[in-house]
Amino acid sequence: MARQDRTFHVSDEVQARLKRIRLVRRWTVAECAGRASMSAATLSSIESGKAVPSEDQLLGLASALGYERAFLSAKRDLGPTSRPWLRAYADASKREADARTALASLAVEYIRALNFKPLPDLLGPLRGDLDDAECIEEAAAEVRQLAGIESDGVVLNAIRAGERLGCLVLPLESEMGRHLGMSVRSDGLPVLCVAKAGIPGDRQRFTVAHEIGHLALHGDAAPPRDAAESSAMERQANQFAAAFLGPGDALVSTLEEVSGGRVTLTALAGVKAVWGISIKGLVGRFKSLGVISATQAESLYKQISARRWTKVEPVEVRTEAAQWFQRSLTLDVGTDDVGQACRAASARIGANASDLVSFVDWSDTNAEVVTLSARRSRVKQGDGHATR
Amino acid sequence: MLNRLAMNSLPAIVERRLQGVVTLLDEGLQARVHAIHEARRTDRAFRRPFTASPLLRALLCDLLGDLGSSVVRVDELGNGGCEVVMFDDGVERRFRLKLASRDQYGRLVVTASSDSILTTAPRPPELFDPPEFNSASTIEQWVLAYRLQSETSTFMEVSAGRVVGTVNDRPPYRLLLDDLVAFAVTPPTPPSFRGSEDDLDLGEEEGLGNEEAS
Repeated sequence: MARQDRTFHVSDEVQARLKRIRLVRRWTVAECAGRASMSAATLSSIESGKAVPSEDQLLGLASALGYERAFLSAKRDLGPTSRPWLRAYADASKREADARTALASLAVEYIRALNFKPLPDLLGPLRGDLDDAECIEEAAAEVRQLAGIESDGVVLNAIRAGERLGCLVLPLESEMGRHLGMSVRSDGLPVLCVAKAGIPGDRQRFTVAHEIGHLALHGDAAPPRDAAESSAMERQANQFAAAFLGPGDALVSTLEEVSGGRVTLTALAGVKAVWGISIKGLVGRFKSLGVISATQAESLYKQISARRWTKVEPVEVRTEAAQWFQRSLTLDVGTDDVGQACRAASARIGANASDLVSFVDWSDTNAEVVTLSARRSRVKQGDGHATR
Repeated sequence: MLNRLAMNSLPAIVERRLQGVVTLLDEGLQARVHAIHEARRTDRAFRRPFTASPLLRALLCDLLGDLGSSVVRVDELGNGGCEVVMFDDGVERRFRLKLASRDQYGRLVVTASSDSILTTAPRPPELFDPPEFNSASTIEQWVLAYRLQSETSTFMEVSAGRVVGTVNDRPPYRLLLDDLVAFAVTPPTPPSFRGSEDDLDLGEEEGLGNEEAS
C-alpha cells in the first residue's frame, strides 16, 4: 500500500512538472511529444495522469526539455500554485498566462531544490472592507511599514521593497502587449513577475506595487466570479499601488514645496522626480486625494496627451532589478559570475542552466552582460530551450 | 497696402521678463483652464458661440493679476482684454494678449477688430504708478500672440511681435508684425528620479541564501 501511494505521488508530481516545463517553453503537447519521440496522445495521457511514463519515455522527455531525469522525477512535495493575478488580465491569452504561471512555479521549484531560504513572508492576508478607499490606504501604509519604509518616505526601490516583504521577484523579457505583470503564490511563496527592460521605470514600479497589492489584499480571496468583480479587484490593487508608492500627506506636502500646491504639468514633473510616480499616475492620485477635481484631472490628462507624454513622459525613472535570487545563487556557488553560478547550481540538481538564468538575469536584453555565457550554456544544452 | 510704424527690437532683459510672464500664464492655464471646461459643461450660457474666447481672455487677465513689479504693469482694456506693460531704458512697451493662428504658409496671423492698437497714446498717470512709469519717452505697441491646443485650450506657442502696421485697410485688420520672438511653453523638467540600488544584506555572515548553510 505504501509503495502504491509513493508511486502515485511521484507520478503526480512528475506529470505536473513535465507540463509546467512544457508550458514555460510555450510548446503544444504535439510539439513537445514530437521532440521527445512519442505520440501526442501518450504525452497527453502522461500529463493528465492517465498513464505513468516509462523509463525511456521519461528519459526522452528529459532530453527534449533540457533536464536530467533526476530533476523530473524528484520528490519535492511542493504546494499548489494559486490562480495568477495578471495586470490587464482581460488582455492576457490563456497560453501566456499559463506560461507565466508555470515559470513562477518552476522558479519556486528551483529554490526548493537548491535549498535556498527565502526571506520571511510578511504578506499575510489583510482584513477589511476593500471597497473602502480608506481601508486600502491603511493597508498600504501597513505594508510600507513591513517593508521598512518610513510613513512619509519615498519608495526608493519598489522591487527591493517587494523582496523585503518576502516576495520572489522574477524578470519578464517584456510586457508582451498589455500584460504588465503577474503575481501568484506557489508552494506558499509569493512571486511577482515584472518586465525587466524596455519600459519606463515608473511603470515597472507601479506594476510591482500593484502586484504586492494583489498579494496583500487578495491573498486568500476566491477567484473573481465575473468581469465586474475582476475589475473591482484590479481597481483595488491600483489604489493600493498608488497609496504604497505615494502616501497622501507626504505627496501633498511635496506638491506644496514644488508649486505651492498648484497642480500643473511642471509641478507634477517636480513631484515625479521626488517620488518616482508617473505624471499621469500623480494626476489620478491627486484626484483621489481630493486635491484636484475630476474636471481638472480630465483637463490635465488632455494636456498630457496633447504633449504626447502618454508615450514618453519627461523625468527619467530607471528600471529596477531584483537581488535576492541572484545573490543567493552567487553566494551559494561562491562566484560573482552569474552565468557560472547558474551552470554550477543547475548541474547540481540536474536542472536547466538557461532556465535558471532566466530567473535571475535582469540585464537588458540588448546589453548581453550575463547572457554571453548563458548563450554558450544554451548552445551546449541543445536547441529549443525557450527561456527567452 | 502696408501701414508701417517705426521699428525697434526687443532688449534681452525685456525678453527674459516676458518669458517669465509667459511661464506664469502657461502654468496658470494648465492649472485653471478646467474651470472654463466646467463652466461650459454645466451651463448652456457658456456654450453659446464666441463665449470661449472671452472666458479664456478673462482667465489670462486674472492670471496676470499675480504679476507685481516696479517694471511691469498690467492694464485692462475696455474690451475685456489686457496688456502687459514693461519699461526699460525710457521705453514703454505694451504687449497686448491676442489669440493667433497660422496661415497656409505657416505665418503667424493676428487680427484686430479695430485699428486702435496702432494708436499709442500715453496713459494718464495713476496714484500708485512707480516712478519709472512716468519717465518713458517712447511707447511701442506689441502683441503677445498665443496659439492654443484645441483639445486642451492651453498654450501651443507664444510669440511676441512688434506691431508695425496692418496688412489690410478694413476690419478685421491683420496685423503686420516685426521682430518676432518665440517663447518656450514646454515646462523645463527635473532630470530624473533618484532611486536606489538598496542592498538586501544577504551577507554570508547572516546565513541567508541557503537553508543548509543556516
